[in-house]
Amino acid sequence: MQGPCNTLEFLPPNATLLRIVFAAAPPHGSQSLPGFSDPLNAGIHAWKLPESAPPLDSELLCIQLTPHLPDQSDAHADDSHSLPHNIPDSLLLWCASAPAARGRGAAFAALHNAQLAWAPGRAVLCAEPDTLPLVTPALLEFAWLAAELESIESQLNPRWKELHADIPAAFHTPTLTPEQQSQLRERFCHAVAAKARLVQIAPLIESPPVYPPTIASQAGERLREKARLPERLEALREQLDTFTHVYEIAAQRLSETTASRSSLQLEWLIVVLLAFEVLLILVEILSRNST
Amino acid sequence: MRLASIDVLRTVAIVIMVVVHFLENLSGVRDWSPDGFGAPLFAFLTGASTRLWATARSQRGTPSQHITLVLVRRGLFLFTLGLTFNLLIWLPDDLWTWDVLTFLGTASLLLAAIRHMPTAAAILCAALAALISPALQQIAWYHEWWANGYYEPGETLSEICLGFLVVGYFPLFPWIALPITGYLAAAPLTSPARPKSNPPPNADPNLRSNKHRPTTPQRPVLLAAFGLISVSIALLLVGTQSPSALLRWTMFPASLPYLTGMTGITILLLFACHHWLDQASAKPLPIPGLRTAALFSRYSLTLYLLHHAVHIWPLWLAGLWLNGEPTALWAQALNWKLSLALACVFLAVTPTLLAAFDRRRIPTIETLMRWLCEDSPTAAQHRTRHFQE
Repeated sequence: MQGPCNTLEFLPPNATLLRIVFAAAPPHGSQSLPGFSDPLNAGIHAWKLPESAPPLDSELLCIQLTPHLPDQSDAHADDSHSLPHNIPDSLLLWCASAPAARGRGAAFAALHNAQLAWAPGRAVLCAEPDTLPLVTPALLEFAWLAAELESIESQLNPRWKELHADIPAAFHTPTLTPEQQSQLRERFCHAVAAKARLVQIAPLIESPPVYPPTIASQAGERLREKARLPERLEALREQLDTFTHVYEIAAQRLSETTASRSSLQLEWLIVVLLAFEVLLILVEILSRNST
Repeated sequence: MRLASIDVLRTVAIVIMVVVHFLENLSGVRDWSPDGFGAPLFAFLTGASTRLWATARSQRGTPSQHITLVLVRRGLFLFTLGLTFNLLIWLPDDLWTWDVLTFLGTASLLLAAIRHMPTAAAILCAALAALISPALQQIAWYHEWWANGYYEPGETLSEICLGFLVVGYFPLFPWIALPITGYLAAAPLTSPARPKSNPPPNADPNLRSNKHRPTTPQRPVLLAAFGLISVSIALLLVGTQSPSALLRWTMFPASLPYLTGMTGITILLLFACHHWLDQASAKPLPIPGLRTAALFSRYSLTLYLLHHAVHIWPLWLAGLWLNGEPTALWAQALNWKLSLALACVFLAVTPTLLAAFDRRRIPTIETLMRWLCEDSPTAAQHRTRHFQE
């Protein structure tokens, strides 16, 4: 169960598989997916990829499922499907086994007449046809938020080693080569950019519950809670504070060093000019005193 | 860091110097001898080799203070040696003529300070030293000191100082411009060349990183060399229209066209030799004489003293014997062909002599300089710890 093709083998007849990508520009052959309102006004849209499109790392595989209403013949056939809005176990397992989930399982939210399961890169939504259009945008917004957070986390994780190496630069920079200075500048910019991104998405994660609650707002809140987005946001915030703290001091130190070098250069130039002026006077005096 | 280019150029300077001195002191030939080419090359190479030496020491972990200390000691040694040389070779009357050794000693002392200067300040120093010198020569009445075609040193403190600064054989101004320029120009020789590795075949040509681009740190220095030669030619062209002696190609005094032209030429020579001799070091060029050049370069100070001793002392003795005055035969002892032949004999014998010095580890003036100015490895380690503490 690693790809969409395998999924189709056990996909129930009342289910639809969507391949969704969040991007500003439409991928080739994709269609705009209604319902996803760009949360940051950054021109991001949800695009539905055609089935024939090659798999993308950033795509979300979403199975929309309408309840299979039992008729009299199979009313007692399967206990696990006794409730009409239940997601079948096979789909739950498919969702939880998403490669990007790295064994963390799927976040599951059950509402009055809808069920949602999500793991990085995969989602299953089971709701009645009239509820489906209400819950889908909430699921998409949540998936986008979680992907953004995941992206910042994955960018930050490999940079801890660099941070440890750069800590001495916060104290002493004169020995840095221009290439190291340029690296330091780049890392500082990267840390600030990540923090800015985090600050942008933080209100969407920490927004208070909507009152009166709607099914869409409840779906979003539940998923955020189940996926532990507020906790991850807080942890990322502290990590990025550490990064920006070190790089801010290093940048300050570097800037001071550069400024002091310029000023030292100017002082040397003045000293040299004065020395030559003294030399002129000295030669004039010596010449006057010689026979 | 021993570069074949430096060895070869220093050998060229020594050969010119030997020929010029034999011709001048034994036969009085100055008109056509290449007397203006040896000294600038030697002075320039002093700056360049100081940089190479200091960089090599620094890369081996020698503290900067210790490098400065050695340079100061070496400067004081050369200065004292220069005065002793004047006393013993040129006799006490010419003690304060300010020959090349006292100049090189002073240059070493100043380079110890210039090492710590920003590049812009060092460039300003060299430029001002060259530009201010015509004015200094005018203020000091240069030509009055050279009325008979050679420098006649004064005896008062003011006159001695004036000789040291402006009017001597190798006064500080403008000659100091050459070692400083050599020090600055040698920077590209000391920077490690970036690997000119080929980018990966599938790399986007627009996204190629800088490390795949060949660097050309020599370009600014070469441009400066061509600029200096152009300035020299322009000044000489202006000089043809002007009666001023300042715009002629003269070594005594070192005029601005001479100084800029020689600086430009020496930079070009250094980089040409570096390109052909040093950068092909992975597969050594089969150039005959590179070993001899290395010997000449290593024993350049000994050669300087020796070639003077072998032709000046006999000259003084002959003068004293025949006329009762040591300097009576100066510049008129032999005809130029014989002087040139003697210079050639000296140059032919020297490699064998130096090889014997080298083989038998006979102490030379370089050995004395190293013994006095540089620490033994144990003392150096001790001093390194001291500086670190």
